[in-house]
Amino acid sequence: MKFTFQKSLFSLTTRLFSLLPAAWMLLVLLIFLAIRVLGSHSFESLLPFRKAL
Amino acid sequence: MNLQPLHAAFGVLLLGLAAAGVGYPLAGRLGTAFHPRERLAFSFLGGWGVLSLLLYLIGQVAFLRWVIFVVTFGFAALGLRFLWGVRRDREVPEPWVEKRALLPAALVVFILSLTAVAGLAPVVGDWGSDTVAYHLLGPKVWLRAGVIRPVADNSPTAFPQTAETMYAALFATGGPLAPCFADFLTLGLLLAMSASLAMRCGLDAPGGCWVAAIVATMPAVFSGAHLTFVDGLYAAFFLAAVRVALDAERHLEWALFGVFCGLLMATKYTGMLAVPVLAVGLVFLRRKSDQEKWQRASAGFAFAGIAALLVAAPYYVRNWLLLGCPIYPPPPGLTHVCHAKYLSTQALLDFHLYIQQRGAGLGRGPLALLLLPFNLTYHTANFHGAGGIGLVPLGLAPIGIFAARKSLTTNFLLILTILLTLAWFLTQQESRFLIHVYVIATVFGVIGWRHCELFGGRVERAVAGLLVGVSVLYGVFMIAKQEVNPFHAVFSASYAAKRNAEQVPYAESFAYLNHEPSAKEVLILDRSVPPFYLEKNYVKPVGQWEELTVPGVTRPSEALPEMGGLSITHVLDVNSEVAPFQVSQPAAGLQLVFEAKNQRVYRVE
Repeated sequence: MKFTFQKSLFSLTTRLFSLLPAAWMLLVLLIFLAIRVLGSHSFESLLPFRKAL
Repeated sequence: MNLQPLHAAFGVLLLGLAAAGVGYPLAGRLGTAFHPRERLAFSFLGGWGVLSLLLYLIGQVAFLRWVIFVVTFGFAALGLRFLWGVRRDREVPEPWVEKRALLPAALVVFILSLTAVAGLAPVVGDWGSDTVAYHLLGPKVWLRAGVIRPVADNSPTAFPQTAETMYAALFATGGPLAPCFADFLTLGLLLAMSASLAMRCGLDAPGGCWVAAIVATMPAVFSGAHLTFVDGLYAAFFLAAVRVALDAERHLEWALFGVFCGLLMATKYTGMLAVPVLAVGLVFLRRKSDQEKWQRASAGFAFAGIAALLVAAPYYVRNWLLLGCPIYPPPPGLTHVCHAKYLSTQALLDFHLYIQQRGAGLGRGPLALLLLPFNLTYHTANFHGAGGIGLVPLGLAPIGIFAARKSLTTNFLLILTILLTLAWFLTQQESRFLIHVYVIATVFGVIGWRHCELFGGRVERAVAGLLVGVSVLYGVFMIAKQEVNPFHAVFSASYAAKRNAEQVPYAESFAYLNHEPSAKEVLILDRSVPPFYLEKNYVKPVGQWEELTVPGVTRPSEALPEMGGLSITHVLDVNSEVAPFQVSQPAAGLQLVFEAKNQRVYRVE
């Protein structure tokens, strides 16, 4: 029982870890699109930055 | 028919061949770790720098057009011979592009073509443009004076002059459009160095092409590599030094590494920071390799050091002898040690304040450092980033670094990146000063992209491709947008004239003085007037950075009584953003001969 739990925990962690790169790239892309394409300066003001691109 | 573009093409071709003539005996003998194409690229780049050094040394005595022609023709003949030999012996494989490399290769060709064509537009801009203020001012004045000397009224003309000396040679051989037209060549060399480093890091030819394409479409890179800005060339020298250092074994290779280090310091003062960083990285790299390699490297370091010193020293020694300080204008640490000619203490303080304010970025605290990757990506305006660096460094480089974390080369490049970024962060946070780091980050980024392609799932592959696509398209859009007007000026004479009238300050007065045969020596009273547009000798008693060029004169108006001793024939007086007209009418001994809005020209009676 314990072994199975550890195994599934490990499998879940591995799976989550493998999703990290895609999640990171998506985040980078979405922030960029939010700032540039939507021109959302109000979005920008949520971040600790001062000036638009 | 306008023959100026053809003239410019001739100048660039001549200097390109001459660079090959100078560089091939050095870089053509690189070892088997270097692909024949790499040897050729290193020959052009190294030759470009060393030819500039030779012309600079000759120019200290006589910088005459015929001398420049003789030197460049001689080396161009040698270059032609080398290139012919390379082709005859099939040393370099015929150019071919793999199918997977077609798209990035097309992007590179597009950006280089855009740079070349837009570079044919006549130069415009006011004293805020570095091109007008000093990159091209020095070369013009040197050619007129027949000797290379810092222009007293603009202290940045004393910066290391590897790029500027070549601009002067381009003016002499290719006419007024040649320096900006040549940007495509130096940008091309930067991209070649980027691809070379990428392939040394394990990427294949298409991977190398993608690195070149992503770098080419970074607006911040483009801004530092066109309009005669020297940052692209500087980054190319840095990457060449790194690439050679990675495989240097023989003395000749170490010497070539030293030459590139010397050229770094001979192109920008920041080279003085980059070379020690390179040395630290190399010590790490070689210590981690086997003992024998380390011992050989120790001897190589000595060779490199001597070569670097020989290449860089002429620029610093000349400044020391003529201007009182090897680094001119002196940085804060040197102001108390050196007495800088022409610059008062207040002028120096103002200069330092300007640099500090311009390079403040988003602060210099620990939080600003932590957020730097985000800020550089999303908030490039704070770093004068001209549109940014795209998304590849932030989005994909961390994945690439993780994927290649066990590689010694990756760790070496990572050390360089961290140290160079820190030095930049603490000195002047100007985006284009970090081009070499952007290239390294792009190499990591493409490694990361390749890792996603090979080991990632469907979603990961799709997101990585989308990220690269958006980044590249956005970069192309930003670059093309800013080049629309220069492009228009190249193909429409009427638009070029309109652009000239709108963007060249006091254009009417310059046109008058340039066409007036009696105008021999012009006194420019206002420090904001850019003398680049004047084709005559001039005296500017107070320079752009408050340089005082006439002994005993501390204000422009005080120069008027001194005109006799200065052989002045005409006076240019303007009503500008920094000061009103200096000559009160009617002026004794001065005859008003030309007047337009906010500008007056007087003839000395």
